[in-house]
Amino acid sequence: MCSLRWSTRVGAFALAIAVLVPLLPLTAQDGSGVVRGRVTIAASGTPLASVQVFIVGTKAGGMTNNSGNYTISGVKLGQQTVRARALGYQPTDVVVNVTAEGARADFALNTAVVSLNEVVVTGTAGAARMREVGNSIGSVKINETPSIPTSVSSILTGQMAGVNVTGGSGNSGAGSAIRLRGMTSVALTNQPLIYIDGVRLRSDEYPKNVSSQAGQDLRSGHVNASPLNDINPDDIDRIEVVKGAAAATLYGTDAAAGVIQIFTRRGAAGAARWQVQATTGFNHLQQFGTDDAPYLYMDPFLRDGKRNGASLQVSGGTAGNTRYFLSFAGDNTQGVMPLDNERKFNLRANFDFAPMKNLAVNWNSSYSNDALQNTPAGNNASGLTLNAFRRDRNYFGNDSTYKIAQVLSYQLHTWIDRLILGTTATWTPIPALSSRVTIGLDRAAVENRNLRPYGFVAAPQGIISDQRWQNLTLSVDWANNYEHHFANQLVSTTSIGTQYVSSAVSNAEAYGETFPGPGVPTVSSAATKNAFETRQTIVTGGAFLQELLGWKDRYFVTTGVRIDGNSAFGKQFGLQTYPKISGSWVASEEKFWRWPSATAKVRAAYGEAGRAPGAFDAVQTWNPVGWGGLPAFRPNNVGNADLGPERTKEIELGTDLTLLDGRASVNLTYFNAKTSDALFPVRQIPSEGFGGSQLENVGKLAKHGIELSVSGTPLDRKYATVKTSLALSTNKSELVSLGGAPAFSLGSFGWAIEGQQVPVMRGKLIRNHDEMGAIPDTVGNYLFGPSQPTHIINGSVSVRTWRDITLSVRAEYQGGAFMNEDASFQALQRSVKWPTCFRAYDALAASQPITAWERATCVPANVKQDMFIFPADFFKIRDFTMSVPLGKLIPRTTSSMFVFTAQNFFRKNYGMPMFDPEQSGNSGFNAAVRYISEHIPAPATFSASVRVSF
Amino acid sequence: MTITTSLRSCLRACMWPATVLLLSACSLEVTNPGPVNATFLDDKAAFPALVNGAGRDLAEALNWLSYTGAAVARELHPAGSTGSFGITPSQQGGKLVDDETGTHWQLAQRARWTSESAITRIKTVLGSTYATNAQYLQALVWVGYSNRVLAENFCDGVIDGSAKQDYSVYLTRAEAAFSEAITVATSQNNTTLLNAAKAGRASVRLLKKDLAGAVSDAAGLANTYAYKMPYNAIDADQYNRIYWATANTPYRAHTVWGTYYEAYYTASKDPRVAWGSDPKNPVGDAAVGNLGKVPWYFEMKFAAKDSPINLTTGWEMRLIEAEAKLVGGDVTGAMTLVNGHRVALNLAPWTATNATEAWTALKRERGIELWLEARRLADFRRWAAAGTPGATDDMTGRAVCFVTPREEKESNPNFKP
Repeated sequence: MCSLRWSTRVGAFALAIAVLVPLLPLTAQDGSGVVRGRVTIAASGTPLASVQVFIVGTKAGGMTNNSGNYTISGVKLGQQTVRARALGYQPTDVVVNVTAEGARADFALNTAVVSLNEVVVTGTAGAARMREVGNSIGSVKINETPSIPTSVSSILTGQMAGVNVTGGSGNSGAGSAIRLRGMTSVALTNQPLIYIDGVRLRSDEYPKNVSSQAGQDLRSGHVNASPLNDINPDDIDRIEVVKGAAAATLYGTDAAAGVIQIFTRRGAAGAARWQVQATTGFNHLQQFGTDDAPYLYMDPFLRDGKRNGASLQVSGGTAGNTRYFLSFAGDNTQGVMPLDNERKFNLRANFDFAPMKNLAVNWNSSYSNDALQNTPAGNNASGLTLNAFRRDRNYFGNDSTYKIAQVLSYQLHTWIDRLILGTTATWTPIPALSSRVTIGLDRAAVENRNLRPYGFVAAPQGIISDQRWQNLTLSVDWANNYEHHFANQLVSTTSIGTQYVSSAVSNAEAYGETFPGPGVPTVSSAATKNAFETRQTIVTGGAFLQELLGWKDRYFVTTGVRIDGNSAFGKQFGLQTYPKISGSWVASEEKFWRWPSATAKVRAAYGEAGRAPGAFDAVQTWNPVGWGGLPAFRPNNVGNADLGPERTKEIELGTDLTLLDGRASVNLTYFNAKTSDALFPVRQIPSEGFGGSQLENVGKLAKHGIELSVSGTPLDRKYATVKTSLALSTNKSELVSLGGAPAFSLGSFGWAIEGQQVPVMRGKLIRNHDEMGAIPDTVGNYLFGPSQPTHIINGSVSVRTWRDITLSVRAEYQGGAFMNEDASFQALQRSVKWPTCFRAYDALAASQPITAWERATCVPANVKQDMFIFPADFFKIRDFTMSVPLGKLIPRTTSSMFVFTAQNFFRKNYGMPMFDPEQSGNSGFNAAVRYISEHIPAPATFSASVRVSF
Repeated sequence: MTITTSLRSCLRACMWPATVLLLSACSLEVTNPGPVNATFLDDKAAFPALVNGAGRDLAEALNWLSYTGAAVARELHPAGSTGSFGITPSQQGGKLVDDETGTHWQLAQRARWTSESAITRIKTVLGSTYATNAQYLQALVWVGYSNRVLAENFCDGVIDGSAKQDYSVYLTRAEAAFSEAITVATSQNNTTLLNAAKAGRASVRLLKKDLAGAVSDAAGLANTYAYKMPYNAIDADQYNRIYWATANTPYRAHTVWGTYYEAYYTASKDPRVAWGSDPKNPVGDAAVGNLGKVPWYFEMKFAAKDSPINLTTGWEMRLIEAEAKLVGGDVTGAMTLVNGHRVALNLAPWTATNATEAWTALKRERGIELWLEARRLADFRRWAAAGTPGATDDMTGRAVCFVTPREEKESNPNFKP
């Protein structure tokens, strides 16, 4: 009742304002005038709300509304300087001549590359200004990315130093791996923690559509979708990234691989602002084979997949601190494979309101529904790619399109339902004290239906499996901040808080085979049936204490500690403590600083964070199984009562510079991380019964590197602006100690070997690779190098030209990694006439010599699996975008924009003869060591979009 | 508001997180369903499942060893597939290399360990009454057969992380287990397991060259007696692996083409080595090295997913008796026993005019009788070691045992090459 009365009062007040405000005289009669105008973002033309616009030297000013419009009345007549100022943007002045009829001043704001007063929240106990933060924080503002984002992953790709988004395949719905400063763990996931508006999300991949039935693990499309891609990229305002333990300490156990926090859009005061966007385009597969076989015989099956999407957003708010943002998006995207399709819907409702004077409440809710259909692919004898690649040596013994197309009756459907709810209440009883509670729920429900119907070529009686998988993450985050100003410009901010995260995964699957006849079956239709179920819950509870001391607003020291418990820790293991300390110094505010157009901050940080083992890892367990209808137990996990998290300690040193009044910036960071008690899967002695491996805290890992970002606006004129950015990141890892454990394989020829990078690729080197007529001179167990890139360079150029048409291009080079390309081995060992050997076949037929490499790989008897380790270096143009502001070309709109984007349309490999080094194999994008199996790479995407605001 | 007041507010605020932390700490204990703690198995109600698990482990080990061993022992010929349910290029060449024997070793060692640890657990829990327990008897039989499987197929003996020993260590353990099983089965009046133990011990004693003991154990077992390892159609890792690898769903991974048994069956129609062909699928599922595609002649001994594999039979006992007679110089008596099953099947008997021909017949008949049962490599190894006369398959350059895998060598500090 109370809230109803409150909302009634607010509504009445809003109505009164809405009625009365237009009646107010806007033109003064006493020698003053009115300045009106509109503020937009220069890069995109999007109206910018909540911008402070004022007359320099006076108190006259106002704020922009949702449409970016503002009005300032009572401005003295004559020439006046109008300044627009907003957080994260360069302050911009426009000089106007104010007359009794008024004047107009429109602004197109450029982003300020680094603002020391910009507020960030990720990795800090509460909101903090950049000047106070001692570690690096990456940030992407969606308004500043010119391309049409197709997913959250695409937003992060090639955007920041130290952030590497890679993996996936060309199948619909395939996700990507995110690595922040490379790998942190060899045994546990390296996906960073993901938060959205303070709510913890699942970050590891969804299960792929494959049955748990033994022997069926290859019958799939081998596509792992990413939970990150359930989030509508159009809903995102900005993304903050902290890349390592030095910055992620307050997140405690599980944060060693970094944290990504997504902030969605909010409403702003003012009338409803509508935005409608329609997108169309297509996916097109680029060549990934040789010139002789550009698509490795997949040509008859490929298509240009159509993309169509539409979205609607409305946002606004009352003058009484009530804001809303609502959005709906729908997309339908065909894949390039014949059965591939993705149909996705997203809904979001964000509300902000203040039910009491000192209480602010944010409500965030989103729902998405993703329907995926896939083509059987990967290393799958019933898959399209495998049978096409292997030509007449496939499972049909025949390379005719008709024969191979029989696998297309295989049906792979995945439905993903995602509901994310979160609410944050911030209570500020006194200005110095705030208490913030965030409660979040993330529910992801996946149904995987895998059907080979009656009459299917490789299972004539038919096989079906239906998996229902659910992840429920519940998180509570309570943070309290108390700020106290002492004498001598000393400010203390004390923070204390607690977090609780419960993650429950449940999985049930029904499997059946042998249908009585044609028709659309269910599992119940099958003559024999089987069922599988797993359930697993992991709970983490922790508390933190942080103290931030600032002096003269330019010297800052932050100390903190996080204490954690986790349900997966061994019984001998208690609470874990993760300390941190950091400092920053705003040097440019010292008296000696002689460059007023530049700012400089020097920072240093040390912190620790962890990674928890799995739910069953600490306990010796036996698996209840059956044996032909009889109950049976068999050994499962040998157990380790001393098992705890692995702990990463990281030092960060860096500086943030802005030059030329914010038109250029340089960010330089050096990091050095060491993981002690690293969890290694220590191989158990097979003759002792349990076999397999057991996680033990025995290893030591280290990595270090440099991240350098340089960005600037070398040209900024009325009719032309040029912006550039360049980011370089290096990463060198080392396995310092195996703790007495033997070297072990991480799969796909990736190994954990003392003194080497982690993982290091080990295989057979052919030393006389190009020597003609020679016997291959091979070295076994040769250490090629790391499986992760050691240096990544991203660059972008954006040019604003005539009529604010903007052209931008973004590219990336990755180098230093090696990768196993298994598809060629699998084909060549089966005597498939393979395109990399065409020259050799001709030479052999003509009794001409062939190279040592050709002799090793093109003569089936010589082919070994570990010969196919190649450099994974590549250069890609990530995207090209053209944005054309249409202004009010469309009647009754406030603005409109046409955007064309082409993504991933150019790639050059340096070392790997075929395929895309960013591909992943059957084990998915999140595997410790990716490899290439019988998959196609991600296709190029071409999209055109019209965005209309009114 | 004074500083004191605001600090008081702060302190009050700080109490809440501490309270929440305490509450959350209380709920950090989670019980996840599924796998059970090892201590649960000390409940005697769990013994049947424990011993069944040992049986399943042995079934799985036998499944893998019989298939890969058959490829190396020329009982089957590869038909192209090298990955799942396939025969690797090394195995196609008759090699058993230490980076490809890990699964076989792991499964066989696990089968030994689970059955032996079940014995220990049952004794501990039941105390002096253990010998009256039915599961104890069955576990003893699994101990015997799992050790025999290890002895017949692996080059080295390693027990529970021990140093490398001669493979005969498994034979010693097998014989001891079978001997105790015979005692317990007799006291429990369990004829089925009594016969299984006797037949198992006979085969072990043959390998130990204790021919008198072997003949003594074999004597009481009828020709038609069989003790079989069951497989089932519930889960693919419990399917008969040799059948499933060539069930054309989609694998046609091996063939009888190119083996002795191809021509022999064509000529004799001996049902023990039956094979068939399919005009719609005339070749294997890929190419075999330089041979290219080879004809697909699928074995028909195992005709379904749940086809069992013999652990022992009465006819095997006759061949043990035959071998004892041959060693004793009784060629005629040996040939009568060698041909016993052939006569029962109306097949032409082998003929031998001297000991060498008799050994050739025995070796061939054992190959036929024990076809695809993971027994052939052991025969090759012991006959070669003993220098017995007579011809058999050419195993020149081919392995006669599975080498100890890297997994054991690199993890076992006691293993010295």
